[in-house]
Amino acid sequence: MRRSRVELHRPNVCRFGGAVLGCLMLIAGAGCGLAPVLDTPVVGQVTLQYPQPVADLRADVNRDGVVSLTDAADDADEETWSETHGAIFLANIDVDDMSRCTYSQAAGDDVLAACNDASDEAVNGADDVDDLAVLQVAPWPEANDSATATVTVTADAAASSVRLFKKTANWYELFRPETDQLTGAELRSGVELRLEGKDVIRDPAKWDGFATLTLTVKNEAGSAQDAVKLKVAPVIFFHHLTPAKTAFVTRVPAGGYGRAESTTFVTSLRSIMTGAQAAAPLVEIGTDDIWAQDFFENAYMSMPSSQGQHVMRVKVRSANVDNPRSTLKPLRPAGRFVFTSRGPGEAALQQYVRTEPYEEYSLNSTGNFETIPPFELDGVKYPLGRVLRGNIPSFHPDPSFLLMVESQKVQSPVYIDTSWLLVGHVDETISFIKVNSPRGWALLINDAHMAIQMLQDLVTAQKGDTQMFVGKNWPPVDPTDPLPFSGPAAIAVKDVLNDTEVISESTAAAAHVDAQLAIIKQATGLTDDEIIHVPFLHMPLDGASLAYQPGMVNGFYVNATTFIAPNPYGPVVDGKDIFANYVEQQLAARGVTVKWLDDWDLYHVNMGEVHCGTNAAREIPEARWWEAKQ
Amino acid sequence: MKTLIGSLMVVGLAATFAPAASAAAPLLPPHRLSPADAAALKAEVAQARARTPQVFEQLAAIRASVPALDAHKRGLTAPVSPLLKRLNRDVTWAALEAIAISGPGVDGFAPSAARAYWLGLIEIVGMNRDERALPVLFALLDSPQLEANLVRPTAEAAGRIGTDAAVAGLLTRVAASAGAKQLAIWSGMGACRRLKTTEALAAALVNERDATRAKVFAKALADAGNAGAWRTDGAPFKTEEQPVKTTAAKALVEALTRFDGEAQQAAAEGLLIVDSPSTPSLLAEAKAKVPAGRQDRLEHMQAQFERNPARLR
Repeated sequence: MRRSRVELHRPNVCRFGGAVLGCLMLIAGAGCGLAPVLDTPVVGQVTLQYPQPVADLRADVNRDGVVSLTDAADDADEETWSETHGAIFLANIDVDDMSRCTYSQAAGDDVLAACNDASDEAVNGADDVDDLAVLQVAPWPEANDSATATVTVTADAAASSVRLFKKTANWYELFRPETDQLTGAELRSGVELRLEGKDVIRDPAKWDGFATLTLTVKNEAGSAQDAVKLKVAPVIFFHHLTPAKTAFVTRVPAGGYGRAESTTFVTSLRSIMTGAQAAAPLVEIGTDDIWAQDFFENAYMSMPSSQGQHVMRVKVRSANVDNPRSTLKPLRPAGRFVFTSRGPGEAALQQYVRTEPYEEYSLNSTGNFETIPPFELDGVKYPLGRVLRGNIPSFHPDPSFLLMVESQKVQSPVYIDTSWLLVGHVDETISFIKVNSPRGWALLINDAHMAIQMLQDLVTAQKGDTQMFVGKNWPPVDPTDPLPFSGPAAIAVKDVLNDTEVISESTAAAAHVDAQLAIIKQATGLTDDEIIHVPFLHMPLDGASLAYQPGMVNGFYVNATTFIAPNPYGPVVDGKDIFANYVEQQLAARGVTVKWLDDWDLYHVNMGEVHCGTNAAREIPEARWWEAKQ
Repeated sequence: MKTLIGSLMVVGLAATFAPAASAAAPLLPPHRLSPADAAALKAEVAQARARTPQVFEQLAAIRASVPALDAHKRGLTAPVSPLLKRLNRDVTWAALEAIAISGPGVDGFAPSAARAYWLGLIEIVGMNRDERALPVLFALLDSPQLEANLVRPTAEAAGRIGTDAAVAGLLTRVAASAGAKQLAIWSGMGACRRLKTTEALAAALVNERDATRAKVFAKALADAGNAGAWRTDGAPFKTEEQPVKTTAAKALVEALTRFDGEAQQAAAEGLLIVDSPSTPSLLAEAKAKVPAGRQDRLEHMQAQFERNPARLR
């Protein structure tokens, strides 16, 4: 707290006709902040002295979830902000009052995105109160009636990015920094203020997320100021080390493409999750868009609370622009799920530019958005890990979305090259599992070279006629709409090894994935014994690469001990699928059980796998983002 | 690669190419095929139809499913050629019939579905490696009505066929074209694992100053010298294997020293993909010539090559 004197007035001198009145003033002065001083020897002249202004603005600077008027830790260095101290507020973009921001199919994407708790000038119920950061104007009991106080917000960008409320006897009312003032009575009793962010950080050049609130108290004696610097909570993306809290999968509606396959997939997934004692409920999203991983990414924001963290979950809509000419609904339709599922503590976030080149569309799908789990490298800690995305200068996702993610700072992204992949997603070659090791996790990475070697070993062992993809069809037979051209996908190992396109693409994939791995290793310090190679082949399409077999790395890590992976339908030798068996052994050695899920008929034939068809919001990590390097 | 070429196509060819043919027509306007080639094609198609009539029905059924596949694809391109690949090889003739003689075309298809369909047909023709398909493929390349984003796949298909006629046709056409179309043909030419086309690609890379174009050439050379491909029957000219790989490796090493960024990375990965036995000596030779500031990348490449993750036993 700083109590600076900006201006000092001379004591008022009241001139009265007699000493009696002066005595009365002496008695009365104690109740109104005036202390008349008999200014002898002038008869009838009284000098009034106003109390020096006191400005003490407090926030939860020490991040214990409480604003204390007595704990110096909530006062010291409050005008600065760092990993060790500094108050925090949330972007209040959930919807606590469900009568507001109701979903309408007719409403445009931007209209839906713009409506949330911060889009009005009211505190929307008790739940909303909890989303607002507390500030306290400490009582100044000596404040005279004519004392006033303002609360200003700097810098300019901050002023338009936050909103203040003042607690009243009945509720909270809007407090406009540019016009509103606190009264002397309010200063005497102290005032609770609440602060909300109107938005997350999207571009630090426009707003860096900080807001400095300055309390200026004035009276006839002078003025005093006290300032507190606060930061808006960043959007934090989930890594795999906490279990899924809620799982998501698409269920194709009746009459939709792949309805039967979708039903089978969902039923099987649910059964596996139940068997794995996964606590997460499986939410079915009714849409024709089968790629549940791709149209939204789960995240959260948090600020300190007395219980640890006050959390607001966020669903971040993918920046896939399906219809750039539409002013109403330019984005991928299924992404509107982020608006239908918001509510108290559940926010929706959207960021895109309309002019993104069509060729880069797929990079904006959130299958191209993963998070490396926590680690420390060269003394720098990343307690919430780092975002991992496919992004190179010549082939990159939506730049405004990239900027928004980078602006959160806590999980500064690592970028790898996915341009060689037809779909272009990091989840096609990479995943992460929790392991009992000093690092706490391991990397799963595609190894096409290993797959070739494993098949060659079969040929060497005179087993080249062994079939793979047994029982599967190209394309699949839909019982409700049988297609006459469907034929068996089964193929002998020796024929796969003689498939020029598959072997050339797999050879190239090995080199491309190795380059991805080099970047991840450099960024994390990962060593070879922390990497699990997952063998599957690639094939070319349209000058790029995709999984020839169901890509086993592209699975759903539902909890610490269960990885739901696409059944590879590899060659079966001595009763065991050689690819499945290898991965089972690798993960079992690390305490993880693989559950195989058949995704061939709907997902694999359409160039995706289990991870692509699922999504998960996870348990909130214990790590506090505010303690991370920023 | 697809996006690089695609972007170049959009920028460079919108004003150059004539409007696309009718959606209800074959991809290749009839007059683009010589009478002799057209007659030969029709005869082959008739024979194939007599041999394996079901494959023509299967192709028709696949065509009917393309809009749905396109609507639900994960990415930009619906996977049609993988479906065709499991069919009898006479699908080549069914595809060529649809491309160049008659068929329902892509009437009513969304543009992305239309492209996926034609792409699938062109790709399966190339993958089945029948030299008799070359007249249609080269007629497509010569047609001003060929969509810009089908040039690379068409060149690639011809390259996959890889006979002397394919080589000659590709070299002729790359020399006769310019701009984005030429670059697309260069890109597809990487699938032609023959010495003459590899030498042409290598010369193009060595003479290239633009990093974006250099990346295209580097990737094509990696394709041409792809060590895995050479182990299969799809690269039958085995006597050319080492010369192709050496030629590719030499140009890639040179590009590695000269370019930075994505072009450099393409060259580095290309060297691993080609895995030519000549690479260590080429790197050592280059290291002796380049300025000190560039030697570290060659040393890094040497270490990478030694433990090459793409090397097959």
